[in-house]
Amino acid sequence: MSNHVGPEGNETSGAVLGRSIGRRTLIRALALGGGSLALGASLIGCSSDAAGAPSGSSSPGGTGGASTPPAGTGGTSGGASAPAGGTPTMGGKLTIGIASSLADFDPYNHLAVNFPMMATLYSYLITYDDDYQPHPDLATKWTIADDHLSATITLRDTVFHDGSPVTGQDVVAGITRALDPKLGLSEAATASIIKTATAPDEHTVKLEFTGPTAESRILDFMYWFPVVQASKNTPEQLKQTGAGSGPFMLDSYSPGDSLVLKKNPHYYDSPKPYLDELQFRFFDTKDALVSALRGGSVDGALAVDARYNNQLKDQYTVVQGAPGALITLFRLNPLQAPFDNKLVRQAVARSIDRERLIKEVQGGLGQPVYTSFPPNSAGFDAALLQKYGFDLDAAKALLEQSGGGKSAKVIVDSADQATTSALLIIKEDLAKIGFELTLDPMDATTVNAKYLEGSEQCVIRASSNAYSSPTGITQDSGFRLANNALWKDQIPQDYQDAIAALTAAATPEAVQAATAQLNTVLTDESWAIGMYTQVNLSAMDSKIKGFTRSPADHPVFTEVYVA
Amino acid sequence: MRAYLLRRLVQFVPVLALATVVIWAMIYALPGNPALVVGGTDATPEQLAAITARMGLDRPLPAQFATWLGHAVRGDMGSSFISGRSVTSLIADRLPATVQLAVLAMVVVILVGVPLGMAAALAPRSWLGRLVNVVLAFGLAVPTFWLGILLILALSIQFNLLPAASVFVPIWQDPFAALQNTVLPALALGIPPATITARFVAASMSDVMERDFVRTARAKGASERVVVVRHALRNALLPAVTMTGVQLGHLLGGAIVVEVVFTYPGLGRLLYSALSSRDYALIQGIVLLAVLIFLVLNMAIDILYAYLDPRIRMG
Repeated sequence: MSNHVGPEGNETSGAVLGRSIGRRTLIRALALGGGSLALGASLIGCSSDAAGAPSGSSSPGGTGGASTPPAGTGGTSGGASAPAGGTPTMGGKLTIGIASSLADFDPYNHLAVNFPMMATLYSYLITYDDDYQPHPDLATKWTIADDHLSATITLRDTVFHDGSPVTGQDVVAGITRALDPKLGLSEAATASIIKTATAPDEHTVKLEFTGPTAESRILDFMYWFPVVQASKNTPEQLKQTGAGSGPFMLDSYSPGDSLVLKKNPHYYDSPKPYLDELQFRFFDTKDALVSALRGGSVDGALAVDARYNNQLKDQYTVVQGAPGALITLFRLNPLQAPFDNKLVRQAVARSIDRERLIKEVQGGLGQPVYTSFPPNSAGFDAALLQKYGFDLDAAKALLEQSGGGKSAKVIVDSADQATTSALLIIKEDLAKIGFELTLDPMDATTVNAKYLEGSEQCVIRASSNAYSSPTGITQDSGFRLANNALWKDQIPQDYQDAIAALTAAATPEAVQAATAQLNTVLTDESWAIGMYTQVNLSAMDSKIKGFTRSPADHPVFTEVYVA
Repeated sequence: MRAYLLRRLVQFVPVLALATVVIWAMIYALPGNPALVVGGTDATPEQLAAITARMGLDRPLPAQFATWLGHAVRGDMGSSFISGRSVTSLIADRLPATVQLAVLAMVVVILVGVPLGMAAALAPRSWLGRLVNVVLAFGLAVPTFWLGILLILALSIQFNLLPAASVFVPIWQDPFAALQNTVLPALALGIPPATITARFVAASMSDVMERDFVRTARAKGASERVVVVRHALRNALLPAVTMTGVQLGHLLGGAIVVEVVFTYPGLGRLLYSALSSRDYALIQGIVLLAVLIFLVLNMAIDILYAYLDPRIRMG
């Protein structure tokens, strides 16, 4: 045994010591310990482009010559896309990190974790620009009947990843599956306007709606509807592989670790995509992701917090997320004291210093909001911010007038540094009006479970609002009309009336009037207080060009190339 | 020895059975469930109910447990609630990465811990001994995740020398790339327990060096190297071996933090994501495997201990 652990292989060599051991022998005794460090040092000395590169996979240093490690050449901050100057270069591979994972390949489950990957695997019926103007994707033409009771969609002549044609039957099968109540798919929410779907011919789909439906709601359905190959549109198939016609197709998948996509040679917008291969690497935390980016293990990072902007903006091309993709809301439980008192809720609403939150929590990025509508939404009303903005005197007066309780506990995901920072600022301001807010940290899933139970007093939760129609807010559990997470079955009648008016509004004028009515209710009831548009950043190596994101904050790699 | 082994193996059964029940009870006591994770917070109660039924989570807990146990005893650990993939295959995919990391970390423990412990014991009052004691105190105090972050900051971000996010390269396929990707997490995982091992070796070595047989060896004219390596070290290693074996089990636990910090695709990360998503079947499978590994390691240590100290076998 001693031969394995002793410092010397030769037992008879070396100096003879007395009671104490000499320095040289001690150093020798330490040699083996130092050996491990020396091994590391030798590896460091030899480390180059092989670092991080398993056989058969890609890394920044091994990306087929299409990418290089961060070069420190700086980039632009604040744009919606990485500038695409010059002629696109065909080919190359990129490794992109994201602090989430992929549950499956089913695009009808609107899992936040799935979104970035779904947008590369699947094509949708239409796309939006940042002003919610529709553009063709798989639907080349759509006609809405004058009575707003039906629509006809013409499909592009193209094929799925396996070469089989995209047909109207694929769309019909998808809608049928999305609306199946036994499956519990989140796609059902946007598809719920549809009563029947038929395919008169191979490239035409006829939709009949449950009632007169505003164009914006029809477009929202088309924007959020991915077309899946009918023969593979089952949960079992979509657990294993994708079945779309998007710019990239599945190459390999290691659950929880990485997803490798390759160029779809049949993509309708040939020669796009320009890249040959796109690898997503999954990270558990945003800190780990940013470290990996800065250490050169990935070429780009998706959806990191705005607080990283200062660290990244000089070295990488930083692209801001879509302004309406997420709205940060302070949700107060109207069935729990003290927030069962409307005046207390209004007092809290007026204690939110949105400018300070944007500056200190988001590094100056983002825009203030008062309700759940972002500035690019038809529901946004800038006057609300002027009229009901941050005013501690008004807040204090409302609190005194309420006669309600003056303390509450807020649950928070302990790993969510941005939300924790925001709550500490709110806590400080509430203290100034005599209201004590206590933070109760826990893990994200527990926060979500408690929020849905309605057992907690308040929580900060973002709301996705990438919809053309203001009725999109009813997709949110805190705003829906049935089984509302906060109101349960006690939803205020004036809110129900406002949503009903908005749902029935088929003309732009009617939508505008109904939206104003809705904003009045939301401001008065103040159970979900808008704070700011939450800005996620994507940071790309400065040699990556053409990266952009959709209004829903899906990364778009179709036009990405490596300069 | 055979009877001893058999007795130890039989002891596995009640421990595993108890662990199974306790783990099951603990994970189901956590707030939230996989249906909520899959459906998201904006899913309607009807959608959540449909997902819950599809996952079989609408059945009574004892019935769910009985079904799981029935499959588990036949080697079928079920499927992940989130990805739908077989738990056994998910674990099998990740196990080699964690074993490779744990073995390399154990190499760090031995190569760092034993020499440092000897140095601290053999020259306690020298400048080197004092320096070693400072290093050991630092190593004991430093949290694994913090050490990992420091290593990333220094060697990955500052000097861009080793990957901040590791990938698994089997060492038998490409030893060089494997070491490049594993050396940082292995150091982060191995250094804290190495200092514990060093403390044990130091204490044990100091004690052994005072023993009569050491004096006798010296009186016989043996060189100090022979005295230390052949006579003293072998005896001093007995408690350290026990401790190192237990630490190997703890390395598997520590691997969760280290694998997350280094994005290393091992069992630790798999368990972390399973816990985050309340993937009951996957949690149960991984934790049971960890319990089993711990039991086997303990038994292996006992056998090694018996080999090193014949009096144990006699007993």
